[in-house]
Amino acid sequence: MKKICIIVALSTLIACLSAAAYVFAESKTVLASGGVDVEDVFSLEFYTDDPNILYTTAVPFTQMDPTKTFVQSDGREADSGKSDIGLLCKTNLAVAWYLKIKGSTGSLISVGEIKYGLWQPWNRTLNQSADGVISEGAGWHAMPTASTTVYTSGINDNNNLPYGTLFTFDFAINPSRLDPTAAHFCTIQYTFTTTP
Amino acid sequence: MRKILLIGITAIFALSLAIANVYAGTPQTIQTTVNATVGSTFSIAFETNGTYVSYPGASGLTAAVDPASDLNYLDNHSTLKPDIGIIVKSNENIQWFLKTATAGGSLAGKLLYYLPQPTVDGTVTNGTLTNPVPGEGNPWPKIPNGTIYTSGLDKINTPNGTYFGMSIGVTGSGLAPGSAACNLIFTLTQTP
Repeated sequence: MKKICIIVALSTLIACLSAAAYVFAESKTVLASGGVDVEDVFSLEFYTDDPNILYTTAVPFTQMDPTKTFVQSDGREADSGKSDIGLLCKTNLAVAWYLKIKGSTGSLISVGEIKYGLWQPWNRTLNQSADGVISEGAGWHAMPTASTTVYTSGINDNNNLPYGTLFTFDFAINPSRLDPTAAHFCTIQYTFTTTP
Repeated sequence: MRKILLIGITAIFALSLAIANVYAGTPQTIQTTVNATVGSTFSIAFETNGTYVSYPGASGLTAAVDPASDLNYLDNHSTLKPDIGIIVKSNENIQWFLKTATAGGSLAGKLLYYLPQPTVDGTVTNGTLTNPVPGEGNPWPKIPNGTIYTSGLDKINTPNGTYFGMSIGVTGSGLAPGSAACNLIFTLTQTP
C-alpha cells in the first residue's frame, strides 16, 4: 500500500515538475516595430552668421559718386573681405541642383549696369570649397533679366547636410549715367531648384 | 514528453528610411531689393597733367609780347598740345554754359583764344562754340566776357566730363612797354 502511494506521489511530483518546467521554458516572441522618417531637406535661406556678410533682403547704395563707374554698396570697399549677401543651400535629395538669379528690369539694369559678383561657394559640411561649377566663371557679370543658372552642384553638393553650401554675392553699379533726381531700385530673385 | 522549447525573446527594432525618391525638390525662391541713389555733380577744374597741356593747372601763364604783333603766343606754347585744359562735369541733365571774363589789369581785353570743339571721352560734343575755331592764318577771337560754349548732349557727361583744350594769345596792340597782367576767369553756370 505504501509503495502504491509513494509511486503515485512520485508520479504526481514528476508530472508537476515536468509541467512546471514546461511552463518556465515556454517563451514568447514579440516583435516591436517602428520607423524613423528622415525628412527631405531642400531649402534656401539668407546666411547671417558672419559679420562680414552685410545684408539680406535689402542692399543700399546711397549717394553714389557719378564720377565713378564701379561703385559697391554702402560700407564696402574693394578687397575688404566683406560680402553683400550670403545664401545657404541645403539638401539631402542626392540629386543635382541649380542656383539661379534674375534681376527686375529698370534703370539699374539698363543704365546703371548693375553687376553681380560670385566666387566659388563653400561646402560647410565638408569645410572645403564646393565642387560644383559657376556657370560663367568666378568674377563679375552683368545681371540677367531672365532666371539664369549661375551655379550647378557637384557630387558633394548633392547631399550637403547638415550645414549646406554657402554662396556669397556682391553687387556693383555704374552711377555715371543715372538720374540724380530719382531713386533707383532692382529686385534680385534667387531660385534654388533641381530643374536645369 | 513535451518538448521544451527555448525561444529567446527578441525585439527587433526596425529602422525604415524614407526612400529618397528621385523627384524634383520644390524650387525655393527668396529675393533682395537693391536701392540706389546718386549724388549730383556740377564742377569745373583745370587739367593738371603736363602731358596734355603746356600749363598744368593753368598757372604761371606768361608771354613775351611784341607790341607790333596781333597774336603773341604764350611762352612754352606748343602746336602739339593746348596751353590749358578745362574739365567740366555734370550729371544734372540741365543745359550749362562755359563763360569767360578778363579783369583786373591792363591785359584785360587783350587776351585771345583758340578753342576747338570739346570732347567727351575722346568724342567731339554736339554743343555750340560761340566762336568757331578760326581757320589757319585767321585771327583768333578775343576772350569775351560772356559765354564761349553752350552744352549739347553733354549736359550729362559723367564720369569723365567735357574736356576743353584751349590756347591763349595776347594782342600787342595798345599795350604799353613793361609788365602787364590780368585775371582770366572761367565760370560754369546753368544760367544763359
